Amino acid sequence: MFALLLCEAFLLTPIFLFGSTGETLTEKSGHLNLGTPGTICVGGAGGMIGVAVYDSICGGFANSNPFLTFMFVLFFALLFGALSGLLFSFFTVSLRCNQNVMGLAYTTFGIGFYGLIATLVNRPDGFLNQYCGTISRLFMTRSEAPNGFCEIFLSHGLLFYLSFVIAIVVAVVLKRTRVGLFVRTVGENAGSADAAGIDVSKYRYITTIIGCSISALAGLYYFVEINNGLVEFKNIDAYGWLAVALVIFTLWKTDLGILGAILFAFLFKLPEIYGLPSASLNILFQYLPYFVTVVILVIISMVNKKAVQAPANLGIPYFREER
Amino acid sequence: MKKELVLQLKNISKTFGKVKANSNVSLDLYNGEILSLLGENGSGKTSLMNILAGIYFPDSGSIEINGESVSITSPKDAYKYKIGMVHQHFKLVDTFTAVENVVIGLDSRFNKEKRKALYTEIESRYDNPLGCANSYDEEVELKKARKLTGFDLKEASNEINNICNTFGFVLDPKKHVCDMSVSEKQTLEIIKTLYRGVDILILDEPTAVLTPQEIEKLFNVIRNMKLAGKSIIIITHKLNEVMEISDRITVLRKGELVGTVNKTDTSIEQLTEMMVGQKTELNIERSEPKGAEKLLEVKDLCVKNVFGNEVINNVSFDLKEGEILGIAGISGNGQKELLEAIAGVQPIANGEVIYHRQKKNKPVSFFHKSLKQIKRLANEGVFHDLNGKPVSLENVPNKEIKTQVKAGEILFNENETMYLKGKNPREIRELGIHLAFVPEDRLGMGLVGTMNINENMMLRSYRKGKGPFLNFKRPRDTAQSIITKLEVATPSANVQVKKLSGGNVQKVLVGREIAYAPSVFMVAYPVRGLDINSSYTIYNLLNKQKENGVGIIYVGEDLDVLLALADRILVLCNGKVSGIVDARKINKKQLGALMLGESL
Amino acid sequence: MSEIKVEEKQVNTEHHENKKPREKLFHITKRLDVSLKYKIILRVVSILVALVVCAIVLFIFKPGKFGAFFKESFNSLFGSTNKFFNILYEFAFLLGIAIAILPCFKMKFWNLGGEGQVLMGCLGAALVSKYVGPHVPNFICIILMIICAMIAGGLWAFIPAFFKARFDTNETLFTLMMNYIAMGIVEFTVQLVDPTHGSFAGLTSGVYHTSTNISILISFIVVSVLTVFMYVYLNYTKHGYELSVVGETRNTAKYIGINVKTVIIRTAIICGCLAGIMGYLVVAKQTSINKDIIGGKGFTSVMIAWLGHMNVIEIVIMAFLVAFISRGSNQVSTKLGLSGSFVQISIAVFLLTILAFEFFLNYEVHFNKQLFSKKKKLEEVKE
Repeated sequence: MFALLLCEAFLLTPIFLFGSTGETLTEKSGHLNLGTPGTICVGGAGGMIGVAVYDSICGGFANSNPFLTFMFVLFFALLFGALSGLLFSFFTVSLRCNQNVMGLAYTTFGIGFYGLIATLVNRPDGFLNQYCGTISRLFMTRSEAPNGFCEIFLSHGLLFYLSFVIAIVVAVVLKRTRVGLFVRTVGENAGSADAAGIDVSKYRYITTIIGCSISALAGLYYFVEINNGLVEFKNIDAYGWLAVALVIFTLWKTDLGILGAILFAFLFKLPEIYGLPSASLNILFQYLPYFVTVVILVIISMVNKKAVQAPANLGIPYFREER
Repeated sequence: MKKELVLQLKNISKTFGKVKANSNVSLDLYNGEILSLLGENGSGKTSLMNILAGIYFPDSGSIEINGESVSITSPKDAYKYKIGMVHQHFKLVDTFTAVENVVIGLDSRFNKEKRKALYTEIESRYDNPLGCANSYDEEVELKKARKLTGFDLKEASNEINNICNTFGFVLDPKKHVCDMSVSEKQTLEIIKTLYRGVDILILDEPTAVLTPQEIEKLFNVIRNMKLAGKSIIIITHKLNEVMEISDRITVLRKGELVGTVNKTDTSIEQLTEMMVGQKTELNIERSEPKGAEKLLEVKDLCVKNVFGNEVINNVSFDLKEGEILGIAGISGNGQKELLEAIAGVQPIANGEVIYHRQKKNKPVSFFHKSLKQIKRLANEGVFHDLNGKPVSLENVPNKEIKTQVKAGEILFNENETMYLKGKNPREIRELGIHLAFVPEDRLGMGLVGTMNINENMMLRSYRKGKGPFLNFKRPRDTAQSIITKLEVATPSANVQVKKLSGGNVQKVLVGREIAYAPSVFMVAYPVRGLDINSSYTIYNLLNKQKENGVGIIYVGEDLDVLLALADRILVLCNGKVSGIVDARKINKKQLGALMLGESL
Repeated sequence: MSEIKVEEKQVNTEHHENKKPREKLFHITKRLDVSLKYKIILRVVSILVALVVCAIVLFIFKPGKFGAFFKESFNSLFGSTNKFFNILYEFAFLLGIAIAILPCFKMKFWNLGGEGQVLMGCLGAALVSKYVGPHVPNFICIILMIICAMIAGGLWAFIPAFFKARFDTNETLFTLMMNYIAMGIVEFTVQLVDPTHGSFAGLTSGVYHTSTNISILISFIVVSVLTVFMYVYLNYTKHGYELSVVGETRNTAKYIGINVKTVIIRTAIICGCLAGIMGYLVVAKQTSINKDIIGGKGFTSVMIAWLGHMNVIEIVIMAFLVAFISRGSNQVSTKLGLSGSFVQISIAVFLLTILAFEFFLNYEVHFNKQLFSKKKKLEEVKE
């Protein structure tokens, strides 16, 4: 049982991890991107488009190459993620719009975009499903021994491992490198950063674009690995909001984010696998991640220590000639 | 050292909306000199320097550095031209360490060049004229230098320590900024600029937050930098410091250049005149204070700021009715906190503020006291009747008490004393004490900028009247009468206050507080940024209030005005009272000495 | 002194970096004075542009159908009585929630929890209808439902406000999470009470039995009353005055002795109560409840309140426009065989365009005329 839980939880982890890593990076530069759920949806839609484009190029599933499919899918997901980031930064950096409103509007857009693309791309022959099957098998090292070590740790596609790698890389970059220090400066005190000669707008643009690209991979992962190429929407946006919550939960540290994502995935899968005595309690249990986040939020504000606080300039647009 | 022109500002202008921050200002700077930029608050000193530091972009005018015309569009550009500025509000990241704060913004090219410079320096130290092989020591040092990679905080720490040793700073590179004192933060800001190797260092009001000892240290550092050939611009409005440190002095007034003088050719008096404008005859008619009754008593008052430092330390004084008590002191010595503590805006750490309501031999009324309170007070033996006999209301029916009170037959024995410590402004008001307060920050505290004049009138009185609804009639009338009486220049009372000019904003605020019919009236810098006519309107208003028996506390910066307006002057220095003197028997020089904390 | 010399040397090596002066193409300053005329013109222009952008988006997905967007949208407004009432309902729904969260916004308390507060209101009303309804007369049931809905919604707003006032907890994310917790509670309760239908379907007490159009009209009237109430509350009452002072500057609030904490909590509770009333209206019309009954309208309303500049009249206009776009694009998507998701896209695109135009309200762009004239001169020389 526990092995099954581990297996299922691990399968879900990358959604949270991609989402929260991207959002953390964005927030570190001072952008509270409530558009992350939307970006995730857009990333998923990008995956669909990638499959469709490749399908039309190679002329049917029979002629396809799994590796090329993967590259197309990855490219389009990243492209759409980057465009999301570009749009978000254009509104919040160049036009200095309210980030909350921009984020919410973009989330609305993303959900709609996913749905629309799904109906436009989908065909009754289920080609999306076929392609996604080949992609997820592409990098799988081994898959034998149900619920054993191999199944839990080694039976995943490349995207799965990529999520962990990206989380660690982002953590190291933010913590140890010059660029990371600059990004943090921009998020902590854009005025200081500017006075020290850091181009605040450039940094915010770049981090947001990269962050959104990473978040978009969460959508791709969902589409390819969890939905297996089915276009049903279910509720990706809920995962997105949890990813945003996870950022706070992990105190803006993406390495902690790995543990946090696994924990959230656990909490999500726990009632499903073990099953509580009653169906209704089971449902309530599924919302535990949200409740945990609220508790963390309160605890962080009560502690009121600088080290655990959000970047000080989170959500504040920067205008140099402010008086 | 040869004097060379390093910087020229030519006809710089900058406006914010309708406010002219700078108009046609020109300025020269030579190497190895200390230039003071002198002017009153709001005279455009900081704006001008912000233009130089790349924070603001000028509307017109040009900047020349080493004879070349340049355009500074960002702080990065400023650093490129070797200009560094230490802002009054430090631009530091609290959660970072000192060394992290120093290296932010420095790209890899910076380090590469630093490395190159280091190579040349090492090579020149081990001078090999014949081109022979490097000595062993040189090899070792070069190897070390090569190891300086792009991002090495340890190396940066060493460099910071070097700078500290060179100029005589003390700073731990690993300390977090949030754990630093103000003076350490300032040190860090200066090191930050030196680390980048600036030639022109701008310091914005560097001494405002420092103690005299720290100022002395800072000045030594600045002199060291001058010896190293750097040019330093100090923004200030403190004349004695100007005379102590600077070589030349440029004076600004209302955004315009007044002139530049050599320190050796000038005097404090001349600088004052340049700063403030033509000496105008002050004809403020000062009447003798009428009553001698104590109105407000402040006892051993201590106030702490958010960082836990004592900003008001054991201040005691009293305020009599019908007098103006001036408060003098270098700005930032506790004036703001003192008034806010009395008004109930800032919490009092220790001590008492006591209000004496002038009730001796005056009848009690239901205006201030409820029936229950009157009964309780009567039990305590506070009242006497018209014949001077003590009143006890025990066993007297309520109806009877009411008729007696209304007829004014119950009188107080003594003045009422009320303790204001721990009460917020609303509670003070509910005690029936009309404590008017014109704070220093007019739009940030006294008024709401985005509301119109009518709505701002309501701030004091909106709670009046029963029911949940606001009464618009009275504020509108008040607004109208203020506009006509004080000649507020506004198209209507429906204009947002933040759109009015500074003088008109002040008139609205002072007018509202006077309309509140105060018994104690506290004003902080009421004429700051006002032209002479408006200033006189305010002085006359204050004098009129004084004649009505109001006790006035006046915090001012212009010593001439203080001497002409006030009856007594309390001088604050570092949050302590350095003297309470009779304004009629003291001169400006003595006052200045007190402000510096010296005894007379 | 030797080390000072070193400094100088380093300085000299870096001098070559000074390149030609770089000119800025334009620079941006804050716009301080905005006349009413400019505001109105900008708004009208932004709305027109937003509509055109929506049509362009349609054009991207359905090439050759540029005009269809306008045709079908206006058809959805004037096409038939039922269509008109659909818009009216959407309008009332959006306006109601926007009005409910408005005082919080005016106080600069970023309450994104409208969704959850309405949902809790729904739950309170539905529970009363199911359990108390059959035992009491209908009008008492209605009153109880409304009271319960208000309590539930108020509680849901009180929790984040309390922590905001006490510990300055980030209310944006707190209220956001509260939305999902509310969903969880609703799903849980529904599962507990009515596992077969999963929606409390077929509530009979305290709900509208009349035709849909009349129930829509009732909702609309209630929302109108709430809107007027809010207008009066914000502009003519002491509470309204206090909360706008708190929103503008905390220092001024302290200066006149307003208890900031009390005001925050009180205002949030009022928001929650109004959201609760909206919850009752939803349950009364749908006669059922499920966790997705609000369908993201809470978020849309947040955007409406913000883009309406927290001004009741502007919010009414914005809410109407969004309702119009929403129903209009719904009709477009059915007519042209697009997915229903087109509705969300067009709402988002509409709001984003208007949001972008806010820039011109707050900032002014100054082009460097010299630079432009230089370019022109160069071109002339070339010619």
